[in-house]
Order: sequence, then structure tokens, then C-alpha cells
Amino acid sequence: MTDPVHILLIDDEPTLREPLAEYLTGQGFAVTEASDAAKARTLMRDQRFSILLLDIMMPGEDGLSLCRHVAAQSETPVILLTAKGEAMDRIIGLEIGADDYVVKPFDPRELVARIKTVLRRAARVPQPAEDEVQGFEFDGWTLDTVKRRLTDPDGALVPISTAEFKLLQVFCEHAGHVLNRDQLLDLAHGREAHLFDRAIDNQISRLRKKVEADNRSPRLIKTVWGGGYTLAARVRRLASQDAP
Amino acid sequence: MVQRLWPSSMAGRLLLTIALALLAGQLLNTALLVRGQREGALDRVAAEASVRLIAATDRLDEGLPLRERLLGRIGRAPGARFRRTELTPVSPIGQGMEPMPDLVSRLDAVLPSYGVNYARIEAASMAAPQRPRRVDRLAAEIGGRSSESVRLLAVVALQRPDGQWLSVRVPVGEASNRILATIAVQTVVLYLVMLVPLVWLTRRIGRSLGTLREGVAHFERTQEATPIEPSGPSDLADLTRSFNAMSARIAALLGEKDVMLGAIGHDLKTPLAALRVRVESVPDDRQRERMVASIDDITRTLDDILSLARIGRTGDAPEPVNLGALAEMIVDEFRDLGNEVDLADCPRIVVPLQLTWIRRALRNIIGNAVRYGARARVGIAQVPGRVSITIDDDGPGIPDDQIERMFEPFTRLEASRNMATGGTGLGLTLARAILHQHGGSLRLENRRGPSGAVEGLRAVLTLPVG
Repeated sequence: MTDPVHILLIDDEPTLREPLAEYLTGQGFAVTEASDAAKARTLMRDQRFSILLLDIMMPGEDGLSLCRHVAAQSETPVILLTAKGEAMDRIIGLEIGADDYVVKPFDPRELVARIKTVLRRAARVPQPAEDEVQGFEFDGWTLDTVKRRLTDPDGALVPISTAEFKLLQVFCEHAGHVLNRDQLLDLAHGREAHLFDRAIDNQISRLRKKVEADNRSPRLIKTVWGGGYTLAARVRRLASQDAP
Repeated sequence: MVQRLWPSSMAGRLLLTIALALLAGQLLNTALLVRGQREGALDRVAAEASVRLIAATDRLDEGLPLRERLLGRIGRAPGARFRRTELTPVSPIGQGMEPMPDLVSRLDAVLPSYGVNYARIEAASMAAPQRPRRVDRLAAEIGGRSSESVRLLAVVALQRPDGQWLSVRVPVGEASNRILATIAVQTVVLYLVMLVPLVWLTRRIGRSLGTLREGVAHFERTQEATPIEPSGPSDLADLTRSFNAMSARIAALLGEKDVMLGAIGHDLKTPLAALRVRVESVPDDRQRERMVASIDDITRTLDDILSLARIGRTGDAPEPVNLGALAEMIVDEFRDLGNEVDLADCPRIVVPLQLTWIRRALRNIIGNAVRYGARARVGIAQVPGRVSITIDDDGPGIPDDQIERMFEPFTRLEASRNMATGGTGLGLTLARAILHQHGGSLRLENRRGPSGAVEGLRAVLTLPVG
């Protein structure tokens, strides 16, 4: 049995903080509560936490400022709790070093799923190298992994779903490699995802409709008989200085 | 025609008005001058005629013969050769001469007081007899004078008590054309002298007005109060200052509204989040699901209200977006939820828009179509200048007189139907506001079959391209 995941929950509202801590404890996490950023800083000096759940709007130092501090000082992942669902907040939240966010009021089970996903990613990925990557470029297309958007060779945004985005990101990260359906499911959606092989085929088909000039004879996302799929294009990683 | 000639700008109107007023003034001035000159000429004719009539009467009364003295100033005056004093048995004034009643009344006022008695007096004008040109030229050379300009003679005749007619011929000085030329030159000079400062002034005012107009347009567009430097005449500068104060106040109010809405959003969403967490501990699955659904409803309504209040206040600049891909993504979402949605093939259309907002408008409208109309068909078409997205459903439609009302906040066609299907009553309001914010439009219409029966509802979204 490994150590339980230790969560630091920072929110000024006891009406939310207390039941949430209770719920997360019930889900098998160890939870420490802090009612403001100053208390959180004190706690972090003495202990190591697996993950921070951080409310953005707090009196005194706000969540974004604390998040920036944590991202600069440590590798502890952060999930932001926000009252606003506006795109600006999402961008700011992810650009200042948060790993994910949930919009209030959130489904607690969804929050638990996000916590697990973020922790798994933090454990698997060598952080420093991966942090540099801001996006990918292939065949004129740009996939911005910070703002989570796809731009075509003429510079127009091509709206795609989160699932399609993740799939394309996996293809870019493993450019030239043949990925079978199981690998794609695992890399894009995690082991817990209860998706069937057909769902991946469906997403591939939708993705092709958007990026292929002729989706009957795909040039970019190719089907490998008996194996799976591969992204047949030169992929360039974009670091922070040349991100679009 | 008149409207086409009338300039639209303030400077143009001011200049044209002043030019017209000046022209009218100068014309009046000319008329007065010409009239004055004519009166003066008549006065001179009257004076000469009366002097000569008095002198002739005196000589006749003393029994002396008539003799015209052509000496002194009169002798050297232009037209001396036309002067003649005669005594005739009948009046020399005949047919074809123009009567001069003004001259008669002038002489009537003067002659009696100088002891001239007469039974009748007549006056008329006649053309001066022209001499052959050679003689004229010779006379001009000898006299050192330019040819005389006497073309008109006044003939005054009075019937003496003895029945004889005493008559004098007097040359009439003509109104010279020089005065008209003078006035024309004067007018042009006046125009130039006035136009230069006027053009300068109107351009200055025009510039101040232009700055103000741009400021107003900028404020209308961005809702940011950028003070405009007051310039121009004091009333314009005052107007600018008032506008600055007003825009600052509006911007402050809008800012306060944003802060307030943000606070409301936060203050309501945190307890909602707490409630959502606590609901998880309700053991009865059905109860819990209903509670979760209620919380979701409240959250949706709250989000819609906050969005409606925030439209046009977000800083996102429009970005070029592939509209077909956007429609495809939203249609896929609805298909994934088990709805029947068709999307017609469309060419690649790129439109500058705020992605999150347009996505929301499309979701609301396609959502309505699948909710009330069982299935939705989405088509995108491009016409010059704009692109239109059509969403058809196979539902019962909306009574024609109710369609406009559907865009009002919290309007529901039938309470019962809406209760069963959910929805905040803000979806269409929000969608239309979003399209208006993009310079586009949203309209609803009933789709009718060949028999005229309603086959479903059609929503048409239009967006400007480029």
C-alpha cells in the first residue's frame, strides 16, 4: 500500500471547503485545509503535498498569485477552482502553471477524476522537458497546447472537441510511430476511460474531416493495416519563445 | 435637385448660405444704386430744363427774341449740340415719344414759384439724332473729347398763356455701366475677404467636430472612456468636456456592473458548489439525481444571465474561424448525446468571430431545434458580404405573432412544454445578442409546406464576412 495522496485544499469559504474535504477524505485522500494563501504557504514550508486544490478568488493574496509561486518553486501540481467559466480564465490559469481547473459548481466525482489524471501525468512525465513545449507544428498546421486550439495553414481557427484535441496531441507527441487503438485510448483518455475501440475510430474520422483535404484518401493521419494509425508528417515542437 | 446641390456638411452649408446672403445683399445694393443714379439724372434734367424755361420765359415776357446762350459751363458740357429752345405753335411732343411724368411733376413744383405761367406742360424722351460717324470723329479730334454718349433727349414743352408752345431739349445722362462693373468687382473682393477666414473657421470647427465624432464612435465600439482633447470654439469645447464626463461615467457604471456581476457569480457559485458536494452524501439515487439536475438548472440560468450582461465587455478580439469545422464540432456533440442532427456539406468558410460566443449561440439554437423539433438540419451558405447558417427542425413551429416575443428574456411559449424540456428562457435572447454583437442577425420563421401547413421552424443566423 503506497502512501495516501495528500491534498492541500485552499479556499476561503468554509461552506465549500469543509464538505469538500470530507468528501475527498471519503474517497481515500488525506486532506489538509487552508483558508487563505498565507496559511497555505506556511503549511507548504513544513510538508510536502501531492497536489493543491486552489480557489482563485480569495481575500488577500489570490489563487492565481499563489499558483504562480507554487509553479515557480516546486513541482507540486495545481488544480484551480474557479467561479468563472470564461475562456480568459482558462488561458490565464494554464499559462501561469496550473495543471487543470474545474468550474464551480463541479461534480465532485469529476474533480476526483481530474485529480487522478493530473497525478498520473505528474508521476509519468519528466516535468522540465515537457514544460518547454507550447505546441506542435505539422504540415502548416499549428496545435497550441497551452490555449488548446488548432490553427490551419491559412491561420484560421479550426474548432475541435477536447477528445479530438487530445488525440491529435498524442499523434504529435508520437509522430511517425504507429499507435494501435489501445495505445491511443490509453494515451489520450487514460486507463479509466470506458471507451470502446469504435469510439477511437469515430474520433479519427472526425479529426480527418477537419485536417485532411480529402478524407477518403488521408494524407496526414494514415491507417496502418493491422496496426493502427500514424501521423505521417514532420512535426516540429514549439517552445515558449516561438509559440503562436 | 435642390437636395443634390445643398451640401451635407456643416462647413459647406455655412459657406453656401453666407455666399447666397452676400449675393442677395449685393444685388439689392446694385438696384438701389442704379435707382439713385436714375433719380439723380432726372434731377439734373429737371434743373437744367427749369433754368432754361425760366430764362426763356423771362426773355419772351420782356419782348426779347429767344436766343440760346451756349456759353460757360453748359456750352462746354457734353451734348451741347443737342440743346435747343424753340417756340412753336404746336407741341413738339408727338407719337412715339416716351412720356416722363416724373419730370413733369418735378417741374410743376418749381416753375410757378419763379413766375412762369403756363396752361399745360408736357415732357417726354426721344432718341438723340446721331451724326454721321466721320463728323463725329472730327468733332472728337477738334474738341479733344471722346465721342459723346448722349443717346437720349428729354423734351419739355409748356403752353404759354398766349397759346404758343415753348420747348427745350435737354440731354439725359445715361446710367453708366461702370457702376455695375464696380459692384461686381466689389462683390468678388468681399467674397474673397470673407471666404478665407470662413473656410479657416469652418475647417477648425469641422476638425473639432470630427475628433468628437470619432471619440463617440470609439466609445460606442469599445465602451472605454478615452478623454477627447477639447478644441474649437468654446461651445464645442464645452460639448467635448460634457461628452468626456458622460463617457467616463458610463464606463465607470459598466465597470461597476462587471465587478458586481463577478461578485454575484462568485458568491452564488461557491454555495452552489458546496451544495453540489453535499448532495453526493444523499443515499437515495433518485433524490440525488433530481437535486443534481436542479443545481445544474440554477447554474445554467446563472451562467446565461452573467453572459448576457457581459456580452461586448469581454476583451477577446475576433479571430478567423473555420465556420464549417465549428458547426461540425457542435453537431458531433449533439450526435454524441443521441440527437438526430444533419449537417450539409459546406465549402471552407472563414469568418472573424469570437469563438466561445458564437459556439454558444449555435449550441443554443441547435439545442432548441432538437428539443422542440425532434431533429435538426444545419446548412451553411455564403452570399456576398455575409454567411448564413440555417437550422431547420420538424417541430410544430411558433405562431407567427409570437415569434418576436421569443427573443425577450424568460419568454416561454407554453409553460407546460418548457417545464418538461427545461431551458432557461434566455437561450434565444443570448443568441441574438451575440449575433448583434458580431454585426450579424438571428431570425426565426415557420417553414411551410406546399399546402401552407407549418412543417417546422427555421432559424437563420447571418454573420458579416470580412
